[in-house]
Amino acid sequence: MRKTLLAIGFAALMLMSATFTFAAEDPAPAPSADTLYKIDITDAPYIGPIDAPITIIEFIDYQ
Amino acid sequence: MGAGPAIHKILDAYKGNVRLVLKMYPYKYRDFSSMAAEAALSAWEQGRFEAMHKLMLENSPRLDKTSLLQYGRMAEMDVKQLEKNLAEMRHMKQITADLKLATEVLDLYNTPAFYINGRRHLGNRPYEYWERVINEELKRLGIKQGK
Repeated sequence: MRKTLLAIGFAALMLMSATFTFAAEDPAPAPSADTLYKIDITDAPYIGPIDAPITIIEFIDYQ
Repeated sequence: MGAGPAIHKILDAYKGNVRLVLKMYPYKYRDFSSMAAEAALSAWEQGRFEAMHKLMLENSPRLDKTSLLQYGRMAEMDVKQLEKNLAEMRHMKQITADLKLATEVLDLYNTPAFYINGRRHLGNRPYEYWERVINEELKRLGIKQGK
Protein backbone atom coordinates (compact mmCIF):
# COMPACT_ATOMS: atom_id res chain seq x y z
CA MET A 1 0.00 0.00 0.00
CA ARG A 2 2.72 2.37 1.05
CA LYS A 3 4.77 1.46 -2.02
CA THR A 4 1.77 2.16 -4.27
CA LEU A 5 1.23 5.55 -2.66
CA LEU A 6 4.89 6.38 -3.06
CA ALA A 7 4.76 5.37 -6.71
CA ILE A 8 1.70 7.52 -7.32
CA GLY A 9 3.33 10.44 -5.54
CA PHE A 10 6.47 10.04 -7.59
CA ALA A 11 4.51 9.88 -10.83
CA ALA A 12 2.57 13.02 -9.89
CA LEU A 13 5.80 14.80 -9.09
CA MET A 14 7.32 13.82 -12.43
CA LEU A 15 4.23 15.01 -14.26
CA MET A 16 4.30 18.35 -12.43
CA SER A 17 7.96 18.88 -13.10
CA ALA A 18 7.51 17.96 -16.75
CA THR A 19 4.69 20.48 -17.09
CA PHE A 20 6.73 23.10 -15.30
CA THR A 21 9.79 22.48 -17.45
CA PHE A 22 7.68 22.77 -20.57
CA ALA A 23 6.20 26.05 -19.42
CA ALA A 24 9.51 27.42 -18.23
CA GLU A 25 11.41 26.61 -21.39
CA ASP A 26 8.73 27.99 -23.70
CA PRO A 27 10.31 26.73 -26.89
CA ALA A 28 9.31 29.93 -28.68
CA PRO A 29 7.23 28.33 -31.39
CA ALA A 30 8.03 29.22 -34.94
CA PRO A 31 6.20 32.36 -36.02
CA SER A 32 3.07 31.85 -38.06
CA ALA A 33 4.93 32.52 -41.23
CA ASP A 34 1.95 32.38 -43.53
CA THR A 35 -0.02 35.48 -42.65
CA LEU A 36 1.42 38.80 -43.75
CA TYR A 37 -0.23 41.85 -42.23
CA LYS A 38 -0.14 45.21 -43.91
CA ILE A 39 -0.22 48.00 -41.36
CA ASP A 40 -0.39 51.70 -42.09
CA ILE A 41 2.46 53.42 -40.25
CA THR A 42 1.96 56.94 -41.59
CA ASP A 43 2.89 59.50 -38.89
CA ALA A 44 3.94 56.75 -36.46
CA PRO A 45 7.09 57.46 -34.45
CA TYR A 46 10.11 55.25 -35.10
CA ILE A 47 13.68 54.54 -34.09
CA GLY A 48 16.22 53.49 -36.72
CA PRO A 49 16.67 54.24 -40.40
CA ILE A 50 13.52 54.76 -42.45
CA ASP A 51 14.92 52.57 -45.25
CA ALA A 52 15.90 49.64 -43.01
CA PRO A 53 15.08 46.32 -44.68
CA ILE A 54 13.39 45.07 -41.53
CA THR A 55 10.57 46.96 -39.88
CA ILE A 56 9.37 45.96 -36.43
CA ILE A 57 6.00 47.46 -35.64
CA GLU A 58 5.16 47.36 -31.95
CA PHE A 59 1.78 48.06 -30.44
CA ILE A 60 2.65 49.49 -27.07
CA ASP A 61 1.05 50.50 -23.80
CA TYR A 62 3.67 52.46 -21.89
CA GLN A 63 2.01 51.83 -18.54
CA MET B 1 3.21 47.26 -21.29
CA GLY B 2 6.07 47.82 -23.66
CA ALA B 3 8.80 45.57 -24.92
CA GLY B 4 11.67 44.90 -22.58
CA PRO B 5 15.29 45.58 -23.32
CA ALA B 6 15.46 42.65 -25.76
CA ILE B 7 14.04 44.61 -28.68
CA HIS B 8 16.35 47.54 -28.00
CA LYS B 9 19.28 45.17 -27.88
CA ILE B 10 18.17 43.96 -31.33
CA LEU B 11 18.11 47.56 -32.59
CA ASP B 12 21.70 47.95 -31.42
CA ALA B 13 22.92 44.60 -32.71
CA TYR B 14 21.34 45.03 -36.14
CA LYS B 15 21.92 48.74 -36.50
CA GLY B 16 21.05 49.96 -39.96
CA ASN B 17 19.03 46.88 -40.80
CA VAL B 18 16.18 47.28 -38.32
CA ARG B 19 13.67 50.02 -37.64
CA LEU B 20 11.24 50.00 -34.71
CA VAL B 21 7.89 51.69 -35.35
CA LEU B 22 5.56 52.37 -32.45
CA LYS B 23 1.78 52.22 -32.61
CA MET B 24 -0.20 53.31 -29.57
CA TYR B 25 -2.37 50.86 -27.69
CA PRO B 26 -3.20 52.56 -24.37
CA TYR B 27 -5.43 50.43 -22.13
CA LYS B 28 -8.43 52.47 -21.14
CA TYR B 29 -8.51 51.09 -17.60
CA ARG B 30 -5.02 52.27 -16.76
CA ASP B 31 -4.68 55.78 -15.41
CA PHE B 32 -1.73 57.11 -17.38
CA SER B 33 -1.64 55.02 -20.56
CA SER B 34 -3.27 57.59 -22.82
CA MET B 35 -1.24 60.43 -21.36
CA ALA B 36 1.97 58.47 -21.95
CA ALA B 37 0.90 57.85 -25.56
CA GLU B 38 0.31 61.59 -25.95
CA ALA B 39 3.75 62.27 -24.48
CA ALA B 40 5.30 59.83 -26.98
CA LEU B 41 3.63 61.46 -29.99
CA SER B 42 4.49 64.93 -28.68
CA ALA B 43 8.11 63.85 -28.36
CA TRP B 44 8.04 62.56 -31.94
CA GLU B 45 6.75 65.91 -33.11
CA GLN B 46 9.60 67.63 -31.31
CA GLY B 47 12.26 65.27 -32.63
CA ARG B 48 12.93 63.85 -29.16
CA PHE B 49 11.11 60.56 -29.48
CA GLU B 50 13.89 58.04 -28.86
CA ALA B 51 14.97 59.64 -25.60
CA MET B 52 11.42 60.07 -24.31
CA HIS B 53 10.38 56.57 -25.37
CA LYS B 54 13.29 55.03 -23.47
CA LEU B 55 12.67 57.14 -20.37
CA MET B 56 9.03 56.09 -20.26
CA LEU B 57 9.92 52.42 -20.66
CA GLU B 58 12.56 52.61 -17.94
CA ASN B 59 10.26 54.39 -15.51
CA SER B 60 6.97 52.64 -16.26
CA PRO B 61 4.51 52.50 -14.55
CA ARG B 62 5.42 55.88 -13.01
CA LEU B 63 3.81 57.92 -15.77
CA ASP B 64 1.67 60.50 -14.00
CA LYS B 65 1.67 64.02 -15.41
CA THR B 66 4.42 65.33 -13.12
CA SER B 67 6.67 62.39 -13.99
CA LEU B 68 6.00 62.76 -17.74
CA LEU B 69 6.99 66.42 -17.57
CA GLN B 70 10.12 65.45 -15.70
CA TYR B 71 11.03 62.88 -18.37
CA GLY B 72 10.25 65.48 -21.00
CA ARG B 73 12.78 67.80 -19.39
CA MET B 74 15.34 64.99 -19.24
CA ALA B 75 14.68 64.23 -22.94
CA GLU B 76 15.25 67.92 -23.70
CA MET B 77 11.72 68.48 -24.92
CA ASP B 78 9.89 71.79 -24.98
CA VAL B 79 8.14 71.05 -21.70
CA LYS B 80 5.69 73.94 -21.95
CA GLN B 81 4.42 72.54 -25.21
CA LEU B 82 4.34 69.04 -23.75
CA GLU B 83 2.24 70.25 -20.83
CA LYS B 84 -0.17 71.95 -23.23
CA ASN B 85 -0.41 68.83 -25.37
CA LEU B 86 -1.11 66.66 -22.34
CA ALA B 87 -3.86 69.00 -21.17
CA GLU B 88 -5.46 69.04 -24.62
CA MET B 89 -4.57 65.44 -25.54
CA ARG B 90 -3.60 66.94 -28.85
CA HIS B 91 -2.86 63.65 -30.64
CA MET B 92 -6.00 61.88 -29.45
CA LYS B 93 -7.20 61.37 -33.01
CA GLN B 94 -4.04 59.47 -33.92
CA ILE B 95 -4.11 57.48 -30.67
CA THR B 96 -7.74 56.53 -31.26
CA ALA B 97 -6.97 55.50 -34.83
CA ASP B 98 -4.11 53.23 -33.64
CA LEU B 99 -6.34 51.74 -30.99
CA LYS B 100 -9.14 51.12 -33.46
CA LEU B 101 -6.72 49.44 -35.85
CA ALA B 102 -5.41 47.21 -33.04
CA THR B 103 -8.73 46.15 -31.60
CA GLU B 104 -11.09 46.19 -34.56
CA VAL B 105 -8.89 45.25 -37.49
CA LEU B 106 -6.00 43.27 -36.02
CA ASP B 107 -7.91 41.66 -33.13
CA LEU B 108 -5.21 42.43 -30.61
CA TYR B 109 -6.11 41.98 -26.96
CA ASN B 110 -2.79 42.52 -25.34
CA THR B 111 0.51 44.34 -25.60
CA PRO B 112 3.19 44.17 -26.63
CA ALA B 113 2.30 42.87 -30.07
CA PHE B 114 4.83 42.92 -32.88
CA TYR B 115 4.75 42.75 -36.67
CA ILE B 116 8.11 42.05 -38.21
CA ASN B 117 7.97 42.74 -41.93
CA GLY B 118 4.29 41.91 -41.63
CA ARG B 119 4.61 38.72 -39.58
CA ARG B 120 2.91 38.74 -36.21
CA HIS B 121 4.58 37.88 -32.90
CA LEU B 122 2.67 38.28 -29.66
CA GLY B 123 4.07 39.07 -26.22
CA ASN B 124 7.51 39.63 -24.81
CA ARG B 125 10.20 37.21 -25.92
CA PRO B 126 13.82 36.65 -24.99
CA TYR B 127 16.59 38.17 -27.09
CA GLU B 128 17.43 34.81 -28.69
CA TYR B 129 13.93 34.55 -30.11
CA TRP B 130 14.13 37.94 -31.82
CA GLU B 131 17.64 37.20 -33.01
CA ARG B 132 16.38 34.05 -34.73
CA VAL B 133 13.43 35.88 -36.30
CA ILE B 134 15.60 38.74 -37.58
CA ASN B 135 18.23 36.37 -38.93
CA GLU B 136 15.54 34.40 -40.76
CA GLU B 137 14.13 37.60 -42.22
CA LEU B 138 17.57 38.82 -43.33
CA LYS B 139 18.18 35.45 -44.95
CA ARG B 140 14.81 35.65 -46.69
CA LEU B 141 15.80 39.06 -48.04
CA GLY B 142 19.24 37.83 -49.05
CA ILE B 143 21.03 40.27 -46.73
CA LYS B 144 24.23 39.35 -44.94
CA GLN B 145 24.50 40.86 -41.49
CA GLY B 146 27.99 42.13 -40.80
CA LYS B 147 28.74 42.36 -37.10
